[in-house]
Amino acid sequence: MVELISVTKRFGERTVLADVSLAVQSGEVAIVCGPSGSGKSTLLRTLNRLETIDAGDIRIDGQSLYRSGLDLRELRAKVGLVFQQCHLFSHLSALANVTMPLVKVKRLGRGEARAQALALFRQFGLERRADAFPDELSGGERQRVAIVRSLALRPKVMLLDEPTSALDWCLRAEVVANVRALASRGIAQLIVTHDLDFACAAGDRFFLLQEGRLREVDNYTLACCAPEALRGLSSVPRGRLQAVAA
Amino acid sequence: MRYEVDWSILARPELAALLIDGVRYTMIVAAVSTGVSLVLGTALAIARVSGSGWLRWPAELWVNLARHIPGVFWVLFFYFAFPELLPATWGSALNGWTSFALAAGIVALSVDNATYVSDIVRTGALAIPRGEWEAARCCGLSPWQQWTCCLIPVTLRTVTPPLANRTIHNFKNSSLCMVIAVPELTWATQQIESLTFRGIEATLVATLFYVTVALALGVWARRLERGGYRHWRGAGAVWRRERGELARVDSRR
Repeated sequence: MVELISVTKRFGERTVLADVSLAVQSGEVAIVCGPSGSGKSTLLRTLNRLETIDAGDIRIDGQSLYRSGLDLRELRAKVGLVFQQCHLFSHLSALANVTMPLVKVKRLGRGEARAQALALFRQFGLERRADAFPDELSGGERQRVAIVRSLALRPKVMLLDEPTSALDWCLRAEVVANVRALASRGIAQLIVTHDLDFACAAGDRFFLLQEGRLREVDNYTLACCAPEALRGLSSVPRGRLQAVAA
Repeated sequence: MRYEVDWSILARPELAALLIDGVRYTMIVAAVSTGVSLVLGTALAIARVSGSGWLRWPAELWVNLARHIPGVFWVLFFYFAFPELLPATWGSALNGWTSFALAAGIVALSVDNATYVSDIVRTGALAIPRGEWEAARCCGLSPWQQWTCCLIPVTLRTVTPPLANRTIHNFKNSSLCMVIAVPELTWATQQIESLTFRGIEATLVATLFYVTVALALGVWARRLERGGYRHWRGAGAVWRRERGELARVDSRR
């Protein structure tokens, strides 16, 4: 479904992604962890061409993102990206944030778009907040609206950048449930996070990104056994690392 | 010599008609040139922040040239010089057109105001967080849709106060059209002064009119700013429609 083949990305002299290869299948949840500034968000942004790569190739559904004649609009509707800060459109209500792309990109009628959006709002427990504006929503609600906005376009791939950064433990469990629900619909997901508890609960496969290099690890290694690899991850519980060290 | 104010002269039908026509022409010049300059200025701003050098550099050049030229120059240019630059038949046709002075005045003020509007809108667009631009792209919107559905509405909210100031300024600038005999309010007061040798009464009425309209524009702008988008007709309509929809959903439960 999503395939990165020897991807290299540089910003000036600095190599952010070095020969990164990764494949995520439909219904699979891949989690990428790594210290701040290790290139995790850049990795996500290359997948819908918000950033271009310097070498290698990226394929979605077997088709290269760098083939000639690629329709970027179509690609971006197929690859949903939920930002860490959500970036809802501040002049539109929560519901309009979802209906507007449906009307403009999917060419649905307003009534149909509203019906679809409201169905998703109900599914995500947002129906009573649909008329609220982004500045009236809590962090968790904003996050869910952002997920709904991407999901409404029926993407084949979802990219989530720190989806739990603004959430309390209770809402975190909710996001885990949402991620698993998306996976059961056959959506491939690539999630970047610092939150190891969330990562272990939501992911199928785990990757560490350090100094531009990506390596696959199991969840035990991710959560416990590589303190030097996890250096810089803010949410690693100190007690857990000490216990492992002991 | 002591001047005695005589308000009764303004009741004379021919002078009252001059003032009423003056108000009408002032409003036409101000409203149309403000509307045109908002569109033109926004287009220039989009060109100036666009990634394409072919759009950005000509727009930058034009704005930096045009904003250093006095407004009255544009009025004189479009009325006297512009017809001469056209082929002779077109120039004669323009000069023979009875509304040419009005049209030239509107075009001149539009061009003058658009450069400032462009700077204001550009500043607002650059203040939008990068993430919001990217969110618009990630939704699969075309560049045109990104601007019209997301970026311009957000920008306009940010720049409402300076745009309101500019609109008030452009409204007052409508008086520049008197130099090409557009029968707007300032021109009308001068006519009344020439006909009656009594200028103070008409000038005071005109001043009162300018101040009242400018104050009203200022109050309207502050209400827009304070009320955010819910007072904007388009967004308000969407909001109300969605509220209605949700009320119906709730009532069905």
